[in-house]
Amino acid sequence: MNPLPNQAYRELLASPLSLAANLLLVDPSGLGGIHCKARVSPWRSAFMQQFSRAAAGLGPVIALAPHADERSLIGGVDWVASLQAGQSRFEAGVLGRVNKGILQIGMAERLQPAIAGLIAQAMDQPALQGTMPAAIAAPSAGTASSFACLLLDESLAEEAAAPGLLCCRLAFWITEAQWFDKPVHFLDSAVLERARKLLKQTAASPDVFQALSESALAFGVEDLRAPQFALRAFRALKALVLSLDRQVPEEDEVIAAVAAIVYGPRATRLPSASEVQSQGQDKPQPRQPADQETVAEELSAGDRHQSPAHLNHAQGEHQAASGKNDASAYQPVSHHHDVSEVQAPVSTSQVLAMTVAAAQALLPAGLLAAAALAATARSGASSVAGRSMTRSKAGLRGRSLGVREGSPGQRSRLHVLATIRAAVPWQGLRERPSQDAPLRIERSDLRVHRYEQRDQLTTVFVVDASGSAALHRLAEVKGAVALLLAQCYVRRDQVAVIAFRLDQAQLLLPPTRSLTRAKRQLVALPGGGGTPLASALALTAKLMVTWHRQGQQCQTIVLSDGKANIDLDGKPGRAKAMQDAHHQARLLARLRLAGSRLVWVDTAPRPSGEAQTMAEAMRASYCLLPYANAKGLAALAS
Amino acid sequence: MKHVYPFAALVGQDDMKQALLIAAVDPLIGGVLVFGDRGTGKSTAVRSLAALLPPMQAVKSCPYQCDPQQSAAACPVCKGMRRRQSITVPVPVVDLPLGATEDRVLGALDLQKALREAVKAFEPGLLAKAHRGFLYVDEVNLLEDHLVDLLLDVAASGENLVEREGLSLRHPARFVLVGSGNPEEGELRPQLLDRFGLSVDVKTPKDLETRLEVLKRRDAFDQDPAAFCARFEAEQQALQTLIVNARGALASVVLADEVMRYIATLCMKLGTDGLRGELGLMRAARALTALRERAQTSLQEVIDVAPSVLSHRLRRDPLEESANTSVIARALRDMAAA
Repeated sequence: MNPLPNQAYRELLASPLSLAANLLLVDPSGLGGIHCKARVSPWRSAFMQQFSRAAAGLGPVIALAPHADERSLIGGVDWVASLQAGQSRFEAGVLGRVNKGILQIGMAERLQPAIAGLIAQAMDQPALQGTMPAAIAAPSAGTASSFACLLLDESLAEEAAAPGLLCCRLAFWITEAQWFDKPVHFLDSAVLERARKLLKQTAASPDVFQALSESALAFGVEDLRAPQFALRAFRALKALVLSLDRQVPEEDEVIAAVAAIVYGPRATRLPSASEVQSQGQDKPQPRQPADQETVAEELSAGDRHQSPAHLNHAQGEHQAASGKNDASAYQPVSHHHDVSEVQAPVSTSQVLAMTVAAAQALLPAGLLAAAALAATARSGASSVAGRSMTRSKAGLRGRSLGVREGSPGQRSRLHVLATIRAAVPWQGLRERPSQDAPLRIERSDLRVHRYEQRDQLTTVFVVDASGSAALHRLAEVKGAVALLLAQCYVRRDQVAVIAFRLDQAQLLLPPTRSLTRAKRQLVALPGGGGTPLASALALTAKLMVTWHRQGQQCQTIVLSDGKANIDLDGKPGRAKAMQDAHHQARLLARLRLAGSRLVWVDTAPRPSGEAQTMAEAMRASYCLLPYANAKGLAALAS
Repeated sequence: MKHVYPFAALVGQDDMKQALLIAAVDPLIGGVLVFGDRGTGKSTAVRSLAALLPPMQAVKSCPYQCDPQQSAAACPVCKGMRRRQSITVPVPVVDLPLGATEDRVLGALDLQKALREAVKAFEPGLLAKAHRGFLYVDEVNLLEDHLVDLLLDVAASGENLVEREGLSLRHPARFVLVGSGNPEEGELRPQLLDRFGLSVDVKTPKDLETRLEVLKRRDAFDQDPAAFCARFEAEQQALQTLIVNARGALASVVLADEVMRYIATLCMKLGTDGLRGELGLMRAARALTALRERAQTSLQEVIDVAPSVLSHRLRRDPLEESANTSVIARALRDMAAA
């Protein structure tokens, strides 16, 4: 029996984006949407066009304007129409108009958390009544409706991604830009329509529940929404296959496909060999054998000498697990052929093996690299709260803070609604210029927008993690980070940590103001090895530019003795290394980002001038602190 | 009518459910803060609360849902009424969206009335809607500063004072503040933290059976909400009766001196700021006793509520690794041993 009914089905499974897009079209409100991490490209545009065309049968496809505010989302009183008609007229917001359609959100990484929150709320409760002003809650106007989101996230690797609270409500996370290279296939609208009708009737056996729950745990996916999405995706895919050829598909194959696409990008660990290989277990076995408690937890136990061994262990197991699938790693589909030849009831371990193979390409990039595992383990794929802390500096941009009295001019913009509102109570008293003029507005009624003006300060610690004193230095930096964050809800500042050792520099802690997050990520700080000062300064410069572009001021504190011995290419050699480092330091000085500040803390026990020269090249203030301590560093930063 | 996932059908998360029920029994407890990972059922629990609570009596056509039993003096609308008619309304559970404007939260000039009837009237905001009910702020740690200030002020006084656009009025706004959030996204301002009477940490269940049950129930609900709600109707009713009875019994719950002494000793041992810890602990223990249908509070109730009452009130040393709940657990153990 051929488990792959026809060409269309095979094409579907070949590209994750095809699978996600088609499933979404079958069950838009249940699956929530797709989070596409891809920058603008002809491929993306082509996909968007195709998708819009395919989704046209569902409902409207509405693109969210980048400047959309609360009112444009949930609607409100239509002032022009109301003033003309002499009675209230309402207009529906985007969330009301998108009824059963697709909301397309471009530049999702710049989405305000407040807006993301509203959208998420609308997805949770199709009726937004509770949040609307009494007048608008009237049935005439924009009650929100069920819809799906297409989140287009253009963030770069080191930037914060789209708001996590929105992402976690979307079933599919397509994270790799190159998938847009593969052709995306959309099924016939007739097929999709039939699948939507079949959706209600497709059953899922208890085995499916079991398999999906177990594989979620095996991949370390804790969010309980994920198995729900997987289940819905299972139903949708089954309905789709049924509608393609009216033949019941292999259940475990469908499970593997949906588990791979839903859990793959969310995975925080890989299933261990024992989980994958133990065959024919009917009873659920304990999911996490003692030696395999989630890797991140091992790390957070604080035993940093043990962790590398465990990471290798985990990876070794992964390779053992997928060893037999190596040949099919790039061709998950042909692999399905092999496994499903074996006719058996749904066995979790077997499904898991298939899922691991199918998920290979979908796993977060960092997961397979042992070094990056610690950083990504608990936090998942960049779950930072979007642009939550970015503030614009221009007086005419940014988050609206409401209105104030004043005349519009160069630095302020007229707030029409508030102006009318201020003028209305006086209309009875004022003489109107003519009968036709509905309102008489005077200077005292004028209202202008007030915008968020505050700048965000990010303190970046660039820590030399090389040599013997590294552990002590890192511990003190960790303390300083904790102290700064403990007071940061007052100042709303953020802290980031870059560490450099061996042959490269690494962003250990992306800018955050969460103490919890910082503690989790700074638990396992490795130390020792060479001093790649040049690459550290290069990374610092790159990140400072990125953050500055996001509206943050950077204050960078470098902790090092300035004795570089690894050059920019990662090769040892003191002379070249020092030369590279000086060059990078001068480049850093030339950035001259507004509001940025550089401090060099010399940590050498016997300062010999290297650090001072380096600081001068960087135009940084120089400060001698041979025994860096947390309190001193925190004081330096504040 | 749209079906809401029933409270009684929530799997696990007993701490959170207990805290919400305590707040439902005694609104003066001062609100519940639920902190935890995504996808742990925080929002589901809060939103299911509305359907669980017994409906209340309110004055007809009063936008603030005033209690007909109480004096009309506090409410600007009731004051003007000659006779107050009473109607039954559901307890409001109002969502405060992150991006809400001050106008929406506080209320603003009613433009429709102003334009059509040339009357200066007040259009109540979310605070008015939440009076006598619950105000739910999801992602409370991301709430803008100016909104936090508003909330703090109103939550402290139980009254919303409006001075804007030529309007000047005050109306009652007493609500139970329920906040939820993910600590990874930012800390909460200590002043706001202090306003919450109870705080619970929710964790994702890690055992397969629980997760499987969650998945099954959610799926059953999605497939046929009406049938699912019917399945839990009896349990839901029982819980509602429990809340009603507990509210009635609350005043008569006896708190023996030795229990009070225990509470005070515990707070001294933990070094909580001020007396709020003691007072909160007393209230919460009393509400829990009423929920357990007992007449006298025992040490067990105090021990059961202590983590959620005290964990957010401890002075926190940022360099300290261990969580506050474990500090409390240790203190409780020490006292049991002594």
